[in-house]
Amino acid sequence: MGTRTITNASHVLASAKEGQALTLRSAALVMDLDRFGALQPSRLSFMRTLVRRMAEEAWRIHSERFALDDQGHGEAVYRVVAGSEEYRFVVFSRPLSDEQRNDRVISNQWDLTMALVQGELTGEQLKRLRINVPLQEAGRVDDNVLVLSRANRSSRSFQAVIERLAAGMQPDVEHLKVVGYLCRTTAVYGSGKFGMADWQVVQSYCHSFRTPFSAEMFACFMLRHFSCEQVEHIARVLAPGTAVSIAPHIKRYIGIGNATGLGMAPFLIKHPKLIAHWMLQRETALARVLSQSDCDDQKLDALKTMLAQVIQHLNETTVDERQQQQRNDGLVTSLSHLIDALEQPAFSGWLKTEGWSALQSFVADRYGIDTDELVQVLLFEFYPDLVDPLEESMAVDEDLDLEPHVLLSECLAVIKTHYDWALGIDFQQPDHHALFWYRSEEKMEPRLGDRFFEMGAEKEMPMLIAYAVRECCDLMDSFVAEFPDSLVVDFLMQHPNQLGIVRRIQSLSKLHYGDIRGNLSDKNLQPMHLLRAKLSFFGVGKFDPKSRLWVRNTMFQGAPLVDDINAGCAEDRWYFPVAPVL
Amino acid sequence: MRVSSGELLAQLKQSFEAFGASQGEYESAASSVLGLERWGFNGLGLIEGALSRLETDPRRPPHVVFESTDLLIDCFGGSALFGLVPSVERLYVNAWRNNGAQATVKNCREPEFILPLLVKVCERGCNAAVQWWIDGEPQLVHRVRIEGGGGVRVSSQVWEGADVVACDMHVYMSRDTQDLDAVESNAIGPGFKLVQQRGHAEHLACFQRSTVSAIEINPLLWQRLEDIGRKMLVPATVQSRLGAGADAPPQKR
Repeated sequence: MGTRTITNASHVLASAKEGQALTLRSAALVMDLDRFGALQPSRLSFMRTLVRRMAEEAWRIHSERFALDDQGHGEAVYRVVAGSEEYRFVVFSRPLSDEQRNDRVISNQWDLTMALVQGELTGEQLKRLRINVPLQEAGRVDDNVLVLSRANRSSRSFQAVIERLAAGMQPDVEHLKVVGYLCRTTAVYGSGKFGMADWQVVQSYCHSFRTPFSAEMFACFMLRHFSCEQVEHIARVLAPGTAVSIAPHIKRYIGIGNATGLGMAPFLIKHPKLIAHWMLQRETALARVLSQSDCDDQKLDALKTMLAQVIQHLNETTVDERQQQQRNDGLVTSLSHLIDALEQPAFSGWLKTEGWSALQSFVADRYGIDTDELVQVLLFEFYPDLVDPLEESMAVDEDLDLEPHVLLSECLAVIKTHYDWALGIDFQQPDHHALFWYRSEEKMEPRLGDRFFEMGAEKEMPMLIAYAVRECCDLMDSFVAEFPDSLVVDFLMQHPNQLGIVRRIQSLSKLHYGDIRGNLSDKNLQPMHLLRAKLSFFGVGKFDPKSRLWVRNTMFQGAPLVDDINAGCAEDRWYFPVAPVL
Repeated sequence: MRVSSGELLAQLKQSFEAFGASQGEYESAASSVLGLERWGFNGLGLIEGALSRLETDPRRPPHVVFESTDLLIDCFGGSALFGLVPSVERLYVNAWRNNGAQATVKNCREPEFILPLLVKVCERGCNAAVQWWIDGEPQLVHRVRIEGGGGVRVSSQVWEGADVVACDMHVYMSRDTQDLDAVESNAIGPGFKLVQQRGHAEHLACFQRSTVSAIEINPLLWQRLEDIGRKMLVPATVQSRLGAGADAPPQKR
């Protein structure tokens, strides 16, 4: 019936070159929630992809309006020409007291609010934006708006940098190592929220932002640009005779801060096919790279240089949370060991014979998942021709569909194969079913509660895939025992409330990488792993958890500047940035 | 006011979740409203009219009274918005196995909401013809034809006739479009007059328009949907705020 089949294949083959087939790593390994917590930004990350696109397509970005007062309050409009398309980035800067400045989603006032708009900006639309953009979630915008965002000045660096510039000095690089940004965004909205253009519209009609989250990343890139222009403006007003601009090599080291909480986590559960697809692209890149046999002295020397750079980057990363600091320290130690090993002729000679897959196995076995994931993304840098084409394939049809004609016993077998990780969880143990996810009435902020001690479990979000699979499997087992020849549709006629999970199981079990393998109701859940995975695909650095529920990080640190893009000289190698040498 | 398809879908899901529907059910129901609107069948108007009843009436799942190749389904006066997915899937399986199957749906309100469910299964390569009568307009027969395969084709007609004695809704599904022709010609007698016709091009134009631009919605309906959806929100407490992460002290920002 039809052309659809359910495959139980343990691996799929991905073509790297014409005629060459590759084996991907298993879903059990790749989709494990703990490994998600070790993912690193790569050249497939959306920020890297965006910067390459801006450079390759020769985007031009110029200020159209820069009307700020002495304190940097007012508005600015930038015109973006990307091939045959035009966009406007609009930012509003309003006074905000220190007491009102807060990273939480539930805040309702910010230093900066901004929007990315498709096409030209009419006076009437700018008026509407002035009213609605500062309101953020409480406002409504037109459907040619692609992104809505807000940011706050960093209390630690914004004023400090102004004072240095006004005194004729460059920003203190030692300070920038600790806080590598002037402003920090606390939310970046796209994909049709608050009246904005739907993702399907952006994907189909905004060629420049055709890949997932590229519009959102661009808004952050422009925010970084504005934040530098803003401090330079304030410094010039403050001390017209002495103020200097930020030197380009220091400006590149200034990124944009970001604070992210649990709000990001439900996305990964609500978009399972997209996440599985992102992992597939990433793993395809890895498989392509590991299949290369040109591991030579030149590449091994380059690898040592990159490892040393990562060590410096980690040493310049300030992290408050003890566990993350331990992981960073562990990485530094293992990367140092790896450099020492690479210095050994016997080891490097072995690698030249055995290739990158031998290195990957060695690193995984010897140093664990943090180092494993890190070394992988460094290897990506050697093979842009193999990796970069995958960046155009990050979008996917997210529709989940049923296969009602399948024998229920076959569906059950699929569950027991693909969801063995879920069926292995004992939900009778209270600790394994302790947490529930819910939306708070405060701006619908996703939160975690303790099912045994807090109110609201009856309104929990459908985040507990493992639990739902367990429940469904038990019902199917009973049904099959009674009706051995029944179909999936027979089961659904009897148990219509299982429709959602059956649809998900049947859709995802056909993919090489299906659901994320973790129990999101476990008392010891680390939601940070979910955040880290998504943020790694964005490409953030300086991952700095503030608790197990929210994290600060830095975007675009080390990236080319708008001036670099305009001059056609944007550098692609801006991963794991280190402090500039004065 | 204008809303995007994405936010409309998200709001509908949350509102229907508040009615107590299961996840699969509220996702399908939300997609049905949006799908109906996008194909040009006034899904928002229908939900606006039905919302009060959906909110207050106890939902009783449809019951398949009789099943062989053909189904007889009783909705007990409930809306086609909820509970019909398994029956439509059953019909699809029957049609595929037997090269044709039909369903008679009794006591069903807002029968149009079955259309997006049929579109969904027709995308797999099946075809469907559906006709229904609406309370208060017994002389009008509404007919929709959905041809599946690569790119679904939707066309619709309204016929007017006298002395109609019929069921609430009749659905025929087949792998072969020629079977639909036969069913449709049998269903309309010589005394009927075609009063409205929209071809696939017209419905497709509606669909494509909704793909590139926002959807117009009555602000009062939007407000009501938001109010209903708010029932799924949990009141904020000091404890709950801790469940979203504590904030950093100001000097560390």
